[in-house]
This record gives sequence, C-alpha cells and structure tokens, in this order.
Amino acid sequence: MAKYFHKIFDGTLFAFFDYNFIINVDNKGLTEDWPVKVLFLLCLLFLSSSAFASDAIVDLKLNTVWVVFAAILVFFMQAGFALLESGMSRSKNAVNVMMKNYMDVCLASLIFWFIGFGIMFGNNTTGFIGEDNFALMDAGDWDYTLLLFQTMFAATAVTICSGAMAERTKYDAYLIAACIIIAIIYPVFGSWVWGGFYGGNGWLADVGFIDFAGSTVVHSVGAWCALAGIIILGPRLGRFDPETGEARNIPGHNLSLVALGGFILWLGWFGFNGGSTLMADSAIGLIVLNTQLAAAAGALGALLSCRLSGSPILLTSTINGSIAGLVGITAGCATMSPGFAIITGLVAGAISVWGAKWLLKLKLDDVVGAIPVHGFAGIWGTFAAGIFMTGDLFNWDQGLIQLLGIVAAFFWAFPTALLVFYIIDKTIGLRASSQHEQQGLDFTEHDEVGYPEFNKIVTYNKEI
Amino acid sequence: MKLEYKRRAIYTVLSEVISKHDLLDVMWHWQNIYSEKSQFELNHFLTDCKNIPEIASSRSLLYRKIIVLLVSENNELLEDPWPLMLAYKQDRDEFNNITSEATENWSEIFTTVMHELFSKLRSDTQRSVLRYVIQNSSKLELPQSLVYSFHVWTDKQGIIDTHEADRAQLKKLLNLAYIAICEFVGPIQADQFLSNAIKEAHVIHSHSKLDARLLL
Repeated sequence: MAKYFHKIFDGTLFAFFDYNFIINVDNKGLTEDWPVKVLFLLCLLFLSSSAFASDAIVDLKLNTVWVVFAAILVFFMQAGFALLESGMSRSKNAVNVMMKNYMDVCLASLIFWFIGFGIMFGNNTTGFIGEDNFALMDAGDWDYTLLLFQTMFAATAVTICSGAMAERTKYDAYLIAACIIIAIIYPVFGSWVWGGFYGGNGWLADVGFIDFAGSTVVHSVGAWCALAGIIILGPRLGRFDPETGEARNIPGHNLSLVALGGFILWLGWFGFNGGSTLMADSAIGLIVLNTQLAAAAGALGALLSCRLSGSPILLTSTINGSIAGLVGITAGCATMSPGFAIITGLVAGAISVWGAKWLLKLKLDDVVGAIPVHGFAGIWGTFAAGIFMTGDLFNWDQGLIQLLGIVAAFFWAFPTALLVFYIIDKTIGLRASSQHEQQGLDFTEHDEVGYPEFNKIVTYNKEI
Repeated sequence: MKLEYKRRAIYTVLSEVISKHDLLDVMWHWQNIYSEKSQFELNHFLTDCKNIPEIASSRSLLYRKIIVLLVSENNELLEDPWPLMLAYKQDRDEFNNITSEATENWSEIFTTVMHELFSKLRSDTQRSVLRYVIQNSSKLELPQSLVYSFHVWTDKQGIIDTHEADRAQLKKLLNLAYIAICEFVGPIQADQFLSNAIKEAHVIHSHSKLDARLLL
C-alpha cells in the first residue's frame, strides 16, 4: 500500500491528477463535481503523507533488523578470533587464549555501554571526546541498535591484543589492560573519526579523514595496543636463538582450528563492513562483494609473497593474508570499485607476510601475526581508501589526510598503551613467571587443561 | 592385536640379546610407556634403551625382527613374561622400599630427572645449558649446597645432593634448566625433553614414595 502511494508521487500515476481532472478539458471552468474531486485529492494527500510516515517506520525496522543481524555476525567474529588464536598457540595455553577472547567480549559489552559509547559517540563539542550518553538507560530504539553494533567493534579492537600477547601474559593483568583499552584508548580515537552522533564532530572527520568501517579506528588501534603489549612483555622463552638471533618456529597446536577461525572471521566481516552502512541499503551488495574480493586477493597476495621470499606457503600465512585483505578493505569497502578492492586486498596480503618477517627481525614476538595483519594492513587499507575512491581516484590530498589519520592513531594508541602496560608491569606484573610459562597458562591461570586426554607432552603436574 | 602377543614378541626378540635382569627392566619400560602405542613407536622404545649396549649396537636389526614377528603372528614365541615381570617388580619394590625409607629425599629422583634431561642434549649444548643454569642459579636464592652439588654433578655425575633444598627450590632449579633448554634448543624440544625426563624418572623411581611429577 505504502509503495502504491509512493508511486503516485514518483509521477508515474500523477498524470491522473493533472489539472484536467478538476478543470474542463476545453478550459471553460471548473467541472461540476469539483468539490468531490478536491475532497478526493485532499484525502489522497493525507493518505500519502501517512504513507511517508509509515515508510520511515518501515525503514527504521529494516535498518534495525539489518544492523542487529550485522552485530550478530560481528559477535561471531569473536569465535573466529578465539579459534584462530587458540589454534596458533601451543596446546598448554589453548584454554587461556580462549578465556581471554571470551572475557574480551564480556568486558567490552559492559564497559562500552557504561563509558565507551559516550566517549566515542556522545556530543563532541571539542572534536576530541564525547561528553554524554554514558550508560544508556532511556534512549531511542536506534540508539540501542547503534550501541549494540558498536559494542561488537570495541570487542574486536581489544581482542586483537590477546593473540599477539598469547602464551606469556598474566590473565588478570591482561584483563585490566583490556578494560583500559575498551574504556579509553579505543573510544577516544573513535570519537575523532566517528564521533558526534549526538552533536559536534570528530576533528579527523572534520578534516575529511575516511575510515568507513574501521581499518584504522578498530584494527590499527588494536594492533598498536598489541605492539605496546609485546614490547613490554618480551618474547616467549626460546623464541629467538640467543647466539644467532634467528627466530625459532613455535607451531600452533591445531591448524584445523586456525582454518575454521579464518572462515568464521571472513563470514563475520560481511557484518562488520556491511553493517557499517547502518542502514539496509542497496550499497551493501558492493560493500560485501568488495569484502569478499579483498579477502580472496589477500590470501593470494600472501601466497605470492611466500613464493617470492622462498618461504613455505603456510596455512597460517595464507589465512593471515586473507584477514589482512579484510582489514585492508574495511576502510574503503563502500567507496571503491571491485577492481581496486582486489588491489587493496592483494597488497594487504603481501604486507601481512613481509610485515611478519620484519617484526621477527626486530625480535618482536607476535604469536598470531596480529600486528602486520591488523596494523600494517590497516595502514595500507586506510591509505588505499583515500586514493582509490570512486569518482576521485588518486587524489593525493585525500591521501595526505588519510596519512594524518594513520599517524594520529599510532601516536595516540601506541604511547598510551605502552604507558598502561608499563604501569601494569611495574605494579601487578604483566608477564607470567617462567615456571608458569613452562607449565602452561591453562593450568597455572585456570587450573584447566585444554586436552586432558590427548596430552603427550606434559610440563605441569595436575593429577597428584 | 592382543597386548599379550605384542609382549611375547618383544620378549622373544630381546631375550636373545640381553640378560634377564636388564630384560625385565626393559619389558617394564615397554609395558609402562609403549604397550598401548602403535608398533611404529617401537623404534622410540629401542632408542630409549640405548643405555644397554646390546640393544644400542643392533637397534635396527631388533626393530625389524620385532616387526616381522608382529606382522607374521608367528606361533614360535616364548611364553608371556607377565608372571615373571610381576614377580620381578614385587622383589624390586621390596628392596627399594627398604632403601627409600632409609634416605627419603629428592636427591635420586632429581638427579635422574636432570640426567634424563641433559642426556637428550648434544655435548656442546649441554655445556651451554649448564653454564646458563650455573650463572643464573645465584639469582634464585637457592641453597649454596644445592648449587654446588649441581655444579659438581655437571663435572663428575654422581648424585645431586638436595638435602638442604625444599621441593619449591628444586622446581626452580629444574625450571631454570628448562629455560636454558628453551633458549639454546628451542621451546618445543624443551617441552618434550622435560616431559620425557619426568616420565622416565617416574618410571625408574616408581617404587619411591616421592613422585617425580611433583617437580613440575
């Protein structure tokens, strides 16, 4: 019905109601039944305005359904992260990694509702921080929808740290750091780019910085926090040969989990990028297609890079390549044509491989490759969003603005997180003891063992 | 394949080359660790027994012989040694109980763990690991006598005297060795070596009231 009346105002049926309808064809005056016709037209006008109102309601409902569904997909990404990170860790730390991912989403849900949302999306008069809408209690339907969706983003940002810092971080210390990242580090930067939902605007948004779904806002910020974490932590025992300095391989315990995690992340990313339209819009098709192409190209980029560097083509590198492709396209998925999405993904995948090698040369032990995948690929993706924009290709002014945002993200997130991790390390201690590292954090932190029936290598004592 | 048949096959082949005393020890080692594993693990089993010269010198031949017996299901096998093994274990337990009651401390078990741990390392790596442990043991506030005894053990073997150390301190020293192996060999092998050393010590000192696994 609404559609029918809408059509009237599209002009398709408006011909019925031209002036001949109430004026004689030979233009001699009003028709005899003009009062009836005017009344009829007034009725139509009234009905059509209510049709507009019902259109808005339908739109709100559709948008809500889509964004909530996207939030569910992004929530599912936590399962992907948990599987991927756990699979890449040794079996004696599998439970600990899962626990960190699990608590990340729990903490993010509570803290982002309480403080993070207000800082990030509240009225932003200065351009640097939101000032209201903390602990939403009495808000509109759409506010709750937005909060739900953005909560999942906060959880994603913080959980990037857990993988990089796996296998040697004290559980309590990690959770404290996670709380600070969710409450302050992530939403403050977010307010610079996406802020001002309730008034004002973020300063980076004001200068024209583009980050559609968060290559920098979510992924790079998470990665810079992770970088700070692994610098304070130091590498796992024996990760680097003390004489040659070469990195030793510490393979994950279950590559099937890694593969499954990669697939789940890929699936979840359709919600991450597609949901960032915040409306059930026809643009979602292109966004999700770009997401798909970039992920596929990312895996290919990683594969080619492994070949070129003479490295074996590992499952972990390939999956990290596709995730890097996803991170890369996140900023520009709505503003790029599919061809450029492929280039963005391909380069991001290559960056994930070379970035990981560079980190190892610096003797930085990132267990899952989170920093090259989310940080370095995030930089590239954010820059690519500026220069590959449909209708404004290779606009280097926009490229410079993108670089400004990238630098701002690093110089906000990295030093702040470094300070946070340093203080934690000096107070309650960030790194697990070497005895705990030997026994595995599953046992020492949780008194649980991931694979009690299959463990052949036992470096803890639980039975007696 | 029945466990009894596997035991008879291994007993038949090994009885041709080693003495009865060693044979029953070796059979118990197989029974405790390898009896439930695939026959392909027999190679590891024979490697574990390399301290017996007769096995070390003809390991591949023995391995082939056992596999042939297991595959062909030959009927000309010796009787199941299980009753002999049980009797041997009972005798040994009684003897060891007397011994362990007299000197109930961690010295022997700890020495066995260290011996098993270091025996897996190449000689140059052994030296690096020992140097690392000795250099860093002073930071752990361990009893001087323990550090000294460990130092002496590295030169002359024998027993590491742990009388003045409690179990927590022994765990610290063992962890230090683990850290050193992580650094010089790698964390994956370090986990394997430590796990195997504890298992071996647990089997060797199965008579003892003390459990090697408590050192983890």
